[in-house]
Amino acid sequence: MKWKTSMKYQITESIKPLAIFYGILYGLVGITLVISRAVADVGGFSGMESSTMVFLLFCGVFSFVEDFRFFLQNGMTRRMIFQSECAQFFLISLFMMLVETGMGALLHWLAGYESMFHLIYGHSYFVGVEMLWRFVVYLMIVNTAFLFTLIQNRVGKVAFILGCLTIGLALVVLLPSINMALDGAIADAVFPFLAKLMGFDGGAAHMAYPILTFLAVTAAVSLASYLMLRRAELK
Amino acid sequence: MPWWKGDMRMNGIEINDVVKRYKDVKALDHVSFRMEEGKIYGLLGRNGAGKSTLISLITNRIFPDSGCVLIDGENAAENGRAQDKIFCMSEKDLYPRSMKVKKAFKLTSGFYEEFDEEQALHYSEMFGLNVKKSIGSLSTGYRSIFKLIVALSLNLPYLIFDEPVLGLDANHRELFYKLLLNDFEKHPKTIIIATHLIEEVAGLIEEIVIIDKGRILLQASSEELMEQGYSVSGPAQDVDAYCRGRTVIGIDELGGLKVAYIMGKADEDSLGRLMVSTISMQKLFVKLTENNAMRKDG
Repeated sequence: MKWKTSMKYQITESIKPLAIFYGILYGLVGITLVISRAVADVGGFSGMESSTMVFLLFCGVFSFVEDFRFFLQNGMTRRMIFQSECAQFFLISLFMMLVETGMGALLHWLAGYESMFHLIYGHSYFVGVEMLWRFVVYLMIVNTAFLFTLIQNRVGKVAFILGCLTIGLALVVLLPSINMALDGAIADAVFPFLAKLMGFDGGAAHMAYPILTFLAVTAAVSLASYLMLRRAELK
Repeated sequence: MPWWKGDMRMNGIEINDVVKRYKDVKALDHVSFRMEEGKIYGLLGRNGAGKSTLISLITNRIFPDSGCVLIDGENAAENGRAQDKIFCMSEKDLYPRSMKVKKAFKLTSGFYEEFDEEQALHYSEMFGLNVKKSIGSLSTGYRSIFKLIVALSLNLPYLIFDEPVLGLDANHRELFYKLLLNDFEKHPKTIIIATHLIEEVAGLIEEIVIIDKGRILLQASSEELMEQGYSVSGPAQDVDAYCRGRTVIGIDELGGLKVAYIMGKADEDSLGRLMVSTISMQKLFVKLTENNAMRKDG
C-alpha cells in the first residue's frame, strides 16, 4: 500500500517539472524553426538530449531530500524509499526517451534535426537500438546524480565540494600533465578502450558495448546508492 | 483490516540499552525502559536532554550506535511491519512545503489504511485550518495543527506527539487535549507526549518518563510521582527546623517566608504552623533536573 502511494506521489510530482521542461524546450524549438523559416530556408539544430541530461541531473539531485523526509514521516523503510526512487527514475527515463525519440523523428523530417545518437552513430541502426541507448544513458545519468546527492548528504557540503574539486583537478590538470610527461602513453592506452566501450572497434559500431557499459554503470551506481541510503539518517 | 489488528503480541515499546552519539556528544547514554500499550506517557526533559533523539530512534529516523528499540517485540529499525503501527507528529517539518493540506490528507490515507480522511477534514473545520493552502504557507501554529490533525485522525496502536502545541493559542490547545482524550477513550492506544509544557499535560498523562542529559532520571506513574513529594511553606525558621534530616530537593525564598520541596511523606505531627501542599509536577521536574545537574557538576 505504501509502495503504491509513493509511486502515485512520485508520478504526480514529476508531471509539472516535465511539462515545464518540454514546454520550454519545444517552445524554443518551435520559435527557432519559425524564425529560421521566415529569415531563410535554412536552419538546423542537433543533440537536444544534452538538455534532457541536465534536467535529469537536477531530477536526481533534488529527488532525495524532500522525498526522504516525507517518506520517513509516513513510515516507509529506506529499502522501500530506494525502490520508489529507482522506479521513478526508470519511469522518467522511459518517458523522456519515448518523447525524444518521437520528437526527434518529427523534427528530423521537419527541419533536419540530428539527435545525439545519430550524430555519434549515424542512421543505420534500428530505432529500437536508438531507444535502448537513449534510455540507458538517461537512467545512468539520473542514478549517478542521485548517488552524488547521497554522498553529499553523508559527507557534508564542504567535504563534497572539496572532493569534487580534487577529482576535477586530477582529471583536468594532473592526468594530462602525467600523460604529457609519459609522451601520451596514458591517452594511447585509455582512449582506444573508451572508444571500444562506446562501440567503436574498427568498422561499424557494436551497439551492445555502450548499452551494456551504461547498464553496468547504472547497476554499480544504484548499488552504491542503496548502500549509502540504507544508513542515511534524518538530519 | 490492517495486519496488526489480529496480532495479539502487543508488548509495547521497549528501549534496550540504547546509546546514540553525535560527534563528541552522547545524546543517549545506555537508556533502557519500557512503555506499555494503552497508556498516555509524558516524555519530559530539558532542552537537549535527548527526547527528540529517543523519538527519532523509535520512528526509524536515525539508528542507535548500540542497543535496540523494539515495537511489540520487533526491532523498530528498518522494519516496515513495526513502523506500520506507529506515527509521530514531529516538531520538524517533514512534509513538502508546496504540498496542499488536502493532498497531504489524501496521501496519508494511502500510506495508512487507518487514516480517516473525513475525520481529518472535520477536525480541520473545528480548528479553522484552510485545507486548500499549502503547508509551507501556514503559520507555525497552523502547521502544528495540520500535523496534529493527521495524528488524531490515525487509529494506530502507537502515537507520538513531539511538542504538539508549538505555536498554538490557548483555545486550540484546549481543543487538542479534548480531542486527544476523546479519541483515547474511544480507541485506547499508547500515546507519548514529549513536551516542555508540563503543567498543561499533567492532567492527561498516566506515566511520566523524565530524561536528562541522555539518561532516564525517573519513570513512574503520575500518582506515584506526586506522592513522592510535597511542599511545606511558612516562616523560614520553622521550615528550616522541619527540613532537618529530610530529603529536600529545593527551596524557594521570598522575604522571611520559605517554601521547601521535600521527598517522602509529610509528618503531620511536626508541621506546626507550616502549610503542606502537593508539589506541582513542573516544580518536581525542575527540582529533580536541577539536582541532577548539580550532582553531575560537582
